[in-house]
Amino acid sequence: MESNKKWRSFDFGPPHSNPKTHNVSKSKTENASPEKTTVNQSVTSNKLISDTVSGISKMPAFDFHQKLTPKTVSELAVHPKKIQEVESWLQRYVVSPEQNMKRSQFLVISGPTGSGKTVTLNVICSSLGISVSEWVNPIDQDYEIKGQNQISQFMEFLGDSKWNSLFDDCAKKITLVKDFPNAVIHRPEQFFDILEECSYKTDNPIVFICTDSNSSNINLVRMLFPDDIMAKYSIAHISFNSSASTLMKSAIKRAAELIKERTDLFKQPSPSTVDAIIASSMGDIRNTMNQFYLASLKDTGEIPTIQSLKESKGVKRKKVDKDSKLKGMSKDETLGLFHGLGRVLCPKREKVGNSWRLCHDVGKLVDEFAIQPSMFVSFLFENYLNYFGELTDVFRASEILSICAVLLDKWSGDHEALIPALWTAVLGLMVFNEHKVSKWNQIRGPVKLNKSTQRSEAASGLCPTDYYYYNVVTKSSKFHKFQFD
Amino acid sequence: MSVLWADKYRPKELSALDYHKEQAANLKDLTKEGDFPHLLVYGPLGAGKKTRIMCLLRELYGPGVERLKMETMSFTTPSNKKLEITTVSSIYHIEVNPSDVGIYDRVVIMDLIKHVAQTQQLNVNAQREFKVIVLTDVDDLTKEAQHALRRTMEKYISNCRIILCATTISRVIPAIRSRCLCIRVPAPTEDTIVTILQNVCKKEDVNLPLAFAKKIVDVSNRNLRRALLICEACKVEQYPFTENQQVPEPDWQIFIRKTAEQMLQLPNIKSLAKVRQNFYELLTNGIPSEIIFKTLLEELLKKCDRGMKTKVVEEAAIYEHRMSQGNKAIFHLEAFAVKFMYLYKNMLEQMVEVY
Repeated sequence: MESNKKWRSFDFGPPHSNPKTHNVSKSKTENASPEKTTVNQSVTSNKLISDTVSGISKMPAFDFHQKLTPKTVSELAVHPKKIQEVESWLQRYVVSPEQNMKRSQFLVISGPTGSGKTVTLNVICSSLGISVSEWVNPIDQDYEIKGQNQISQFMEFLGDSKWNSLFDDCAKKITLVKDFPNAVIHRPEQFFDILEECSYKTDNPIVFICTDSNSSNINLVRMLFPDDIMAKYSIAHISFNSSASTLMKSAIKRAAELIKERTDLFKQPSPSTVDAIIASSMGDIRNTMNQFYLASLKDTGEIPTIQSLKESKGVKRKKVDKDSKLKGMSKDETLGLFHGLGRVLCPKREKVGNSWRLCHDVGKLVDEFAIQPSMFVSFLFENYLNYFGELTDVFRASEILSICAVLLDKWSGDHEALIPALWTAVLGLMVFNEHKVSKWNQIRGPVKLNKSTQRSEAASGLCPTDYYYYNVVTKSSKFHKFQFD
Repeated sequence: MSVLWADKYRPKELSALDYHKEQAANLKDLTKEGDFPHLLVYGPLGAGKKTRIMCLLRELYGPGVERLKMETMSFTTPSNKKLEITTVSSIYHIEVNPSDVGIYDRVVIMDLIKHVAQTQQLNVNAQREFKVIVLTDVDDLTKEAQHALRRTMEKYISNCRIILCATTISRVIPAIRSRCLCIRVPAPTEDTIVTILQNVCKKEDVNLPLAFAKKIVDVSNRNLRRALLICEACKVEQYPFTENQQVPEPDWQIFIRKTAEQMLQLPNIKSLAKVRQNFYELLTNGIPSEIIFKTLLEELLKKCDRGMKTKVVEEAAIYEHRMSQGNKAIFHLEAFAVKFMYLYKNMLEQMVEVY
């Protein structure tokens, strides 16, 4: 309780030395993580930036990340369309809410880690003159024993956020929730109650930021914002994609400009290193910048990179040399659907003594597609024939797929139970493909069996097996005619 | 356009039914009190399930149920997908085939029953205080939809009755079976069909020789509706009938036979791709997967020797069982096709070795 009061008093107390940080209430805990710092920085005024710029010559320290954080919309390494989406939502519901009778007060921004979700929101808010107050899980008190629990504090915070801070000159404000209370993650129902309460208690817009994740049990978007909840409160949803390599290139260019000023500390990394950084970061802009920072420090040598043996042969493919990757510190790769299909349908093997084993980690592959097992299996079924060279192999694989289909059907209610089914299909296809055919095949999507519902008054009582006679009797070709060629 | 014979001579009253007269009497007794439990009517294609349901409704509500109108209802799934489904309805009942919308059938069932059940009968002159919902092809419903149906059935029993119509109840979950009065409508015997065909032809002023009628019944597979359709189709093609006139076979049957021939000629991966395409074509045009499976098996067995036959039938039983449990028919159809090709190819190779 005490510390809770202290935070409150922070808002109403005497002006802080840094007049703008109160935008982010509870900024005490903010400094704990480096990412939170960027939140702070993006809202800080120009004055503060000029302070640090002038301070460079005096101070040997150089806050690379602080300097690099985008301050204007043009500096963001995010697709312009997404920026526009966020901006138009803010324009519509925060800046001029009077014009909208029906208010959508919740926004969910989701995307993979390091795609610039938070920075985008903060930069646009500062450009529109909107102040952001962010919820941070209280850590420095034993709320179990005395005082309120986390949930009621969270609720109180959301409720209170409609009041403007005394030191705030801008009337527009939004509440940002990125750090979901732990209790909510275990019991999503509580979160739904909170949403319900918020929807009538306050009309202050609340923005939730969720990081996508592959594993299903910590996927916040799916858990906390299921479809019916989204529809009930008409929650807007903007999903970010991972940064494109061109955007990252320009971000690196910008960073390179910044470090030019300090030749005593930095050197320019070689272009090949830059390419390798981009290739190995898998679209994570934050990770890219960290790698770049390391690579450009004066005393470090060239960062070791892995060059794959396969040199790109085609002229076309030379644009981005994805073959070289950073040796250490690279992220786990995330596979796209097509990449994953390729791994399963064209399994690579390595010889171990008299036997062999699969090159790729099957478990990882399965995890990657664990969200939609039946979708992935349908894709496999649709395409596996093209990659098999022997009827015997096909017979084994199809048997596996048939078993898998049974498993998927039987346990369709229980998501966890579908994983073994996916395992069966993936492993079966990979192991039984003894005579694989490696050639270029177009990947086809699963065929949707939409029963053609061409019912009509006259033929309403007919079964599709009798349509042929209907055609004969009426001498028409109303229904499909089967022709074998 | 003229009405099909099958529709034109469909009996309209329970007392006018041509066969299963005892059952008709029972149904009549059932509705005497003006009320009945949920019904599950099942039986093979063309046995007269729908006819009996309509007769029953007429018994309850009078000729008003025959004034039918077609309507398209639209539903929205939780993920905001728009669904459209055709319904046939009178002021007393509504008839839907929820499996038309595939995996979204649950939404249709829940919304439709709620919609129908929550609107009370305002008309004081309405004869009954409940409405009737007729759901067809219940065996094609997904598991989720069947569970949803079970819950809604209990909830709204006060002001709606549900009549389910299915070809087989093995795919209907036991919970639904126990909540309904199950009525089996067996296919009519061949003699009955012959008599009905002759009666219809007499009314149409068409001369139907007995031998030819028997020939039609052979092809019709004891499916009365199909028998009537074949008879009418024959009349369109050639009339007066002759003793050795060809009885047309449905095109999908020929299609499956050709597919089977291809499997036998070239048991390899390339023809398998073609076989799969054919399966897709059959399924998208509404041919039920069991019928595809059965016809295919029959065609394949014609070319097998005795030792092979038992093996193939054994395998077919496994895959057919799997197919009937789920809704991914294509997986099992293909698995069976591959299995057969594999067995057949091995047999051919062995034969080559022997010589």
